[in-house]
Amino acid sequence: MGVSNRADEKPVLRIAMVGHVDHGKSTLIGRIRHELSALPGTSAVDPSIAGNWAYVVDQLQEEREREMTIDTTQTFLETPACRLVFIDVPGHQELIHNMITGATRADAAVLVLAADEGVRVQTRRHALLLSMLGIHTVIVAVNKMDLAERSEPAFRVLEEAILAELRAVGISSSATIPVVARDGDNVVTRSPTMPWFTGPSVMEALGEVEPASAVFDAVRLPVQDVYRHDVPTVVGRLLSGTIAEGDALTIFPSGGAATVTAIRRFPENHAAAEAGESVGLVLEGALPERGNVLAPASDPPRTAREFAGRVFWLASEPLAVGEELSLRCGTQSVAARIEEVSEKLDTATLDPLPPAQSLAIMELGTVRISAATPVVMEPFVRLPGLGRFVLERAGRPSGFGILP
Amino acid sequence: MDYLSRMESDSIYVIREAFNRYSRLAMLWSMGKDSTALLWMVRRAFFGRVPFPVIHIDTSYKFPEIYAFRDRLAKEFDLDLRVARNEDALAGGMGPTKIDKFACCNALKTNALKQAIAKMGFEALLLGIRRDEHGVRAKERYFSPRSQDFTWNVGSQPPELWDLYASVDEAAHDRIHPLLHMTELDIWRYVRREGVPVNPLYLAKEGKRYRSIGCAPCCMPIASNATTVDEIIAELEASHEPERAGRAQDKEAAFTMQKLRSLGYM
Repeated sequence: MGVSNRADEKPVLRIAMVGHVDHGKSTLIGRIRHELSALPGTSAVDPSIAGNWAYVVDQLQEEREREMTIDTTQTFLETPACRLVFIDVPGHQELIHNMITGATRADAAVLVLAADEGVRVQTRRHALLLSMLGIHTVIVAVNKMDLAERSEPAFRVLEEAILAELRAVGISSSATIPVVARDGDNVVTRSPTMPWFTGPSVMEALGEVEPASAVFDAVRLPVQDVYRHDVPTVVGRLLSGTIAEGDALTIFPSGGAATVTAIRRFPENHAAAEAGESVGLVLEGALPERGNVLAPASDPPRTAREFAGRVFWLASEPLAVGEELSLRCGTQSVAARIEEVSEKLDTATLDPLPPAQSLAIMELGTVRISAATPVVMEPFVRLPGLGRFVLERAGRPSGFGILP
Repeated sequence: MDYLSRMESDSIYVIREAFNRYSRLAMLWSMGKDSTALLWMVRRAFFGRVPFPVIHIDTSYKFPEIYAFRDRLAKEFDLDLRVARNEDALAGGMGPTKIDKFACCNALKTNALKQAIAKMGFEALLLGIRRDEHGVRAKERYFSPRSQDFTWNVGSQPPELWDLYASVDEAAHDRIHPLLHMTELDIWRYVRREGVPVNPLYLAKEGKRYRSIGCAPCCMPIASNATTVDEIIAELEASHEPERAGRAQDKEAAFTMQKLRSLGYM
């Protein structure tokens, strides 16, 4: 069992590659995959695509014909020290919904910036989105340094510009690295072609990233379902805290009280459950329903029918004041009405926008929402799983929000 | 929480979301390692039960070991097993050498599945595909809506934010992929830890074993001396060969997998 235990203890880091169109996100992932294909258990990169490293992830016919990433992809690597999941996302703003889809799965990000173009609209927008999604571990790869003669002064100018952009959205980069992704310079190993740079390679910098540890430890269990095949069993994934047999919990928002009499597991029950676990609880007392949140009475979650969140809009038809749609948060799905839009931001420039009664695609704003029934929430920084929500129109995710 | 438990917990979350959402849900089971691991997690999600039908898309060209494994576990796990075959195509002599392998897969797998869905009226299917199997599968969502004509429009998938899975109203049926985040090694380590039953085709006999199993005429064994799950894991931990290298359809032409999948292939 020694081997399996070691494998079980390896941390996982999910890294989104973000940045402007054609700055080299897919190429960087492909080059990393190529250089690490000597790792045991890693399949070799198809030799026919040598040089076209983006093809490692751009595997759709349309993607190769149009030389662009259309949809987000994940590629997996296991090193002796950790597991890495690289998440590629498209750079085109028309495909922002696919970028968000990929980024919501990430713990960290590499922001790729091409040395010949510098900071562009999508560089800034992606940085803003990382900040909004709570991804504060960011490494900057200044790519295509061959187009800037691999020169230090050119790099320092770009470094200053990108760090200022990141500061503006509240992110401090842990490393800014000059790179030629195509040739592998400073990708896995440090390159002799830029001897003036004494910092880490991209992979070395990723190796320094510490996986975030949860700090919030009060019980929050969003109820997914109640199974009544035999003994009524409440199921859901424990977002935070630990539960043990005999614990007293309160059902939010109703306020009913229940005691945990068993923690079911097949084939054998457990005496306790920890955060992250998909559990089955047998309760004595009140029985919750899907959407409810179980929590201790002594440390209750926030419950409100009306609240405001920072919303980024994804659909081509703008979000309008007065509109009614569906709000999803945890396992809750409630009818919601848009009451007010304020503090709008142009996400291409970070400039404020004039007040309006609507939020257009790729605009960010503070949106006041009233829900048909009370919503159980937490501030995003406290517990992301109850601090983020999606607004759906006819079942299609059309925008997402973060609770302050 | 250890890594494999976290993987399992996330898969069970997806399975339970699907079960909550659809009253006419079914699962596809190919008797391979992935869908058998999925079946194992389904039993864990529902405390020992499998509360929906389990469909085997039977091309009739499967290995005899696959049928034996199916019948043994169907009994042991008390499954509501439904076998779906495209009888018309089989009567017409469809097979991997009839036209080409693409036409065969499309007729005997995709069209058999279409007929089964139409006949049994399922709204949604659980499938055991994983992102790391294939570059096109790497683009999948956990909840993937399919249109009336069964197509997967990979260029315009709805966004999927965190685990707030979209409930796209206009989809004809949905595909749900609870194992998307697991790798081949994750599956085998899970199989080892849990004691998930293993199809004997994966274990080496006379220096050969199958790494990926499907229809007998289109699967090539690999050279291997791995006769136990431990030995399979040790072999994969050192291997540089892609998982599906022994599958015929992936190699025949560029973008074959994409074409098959956009027509509704699993």
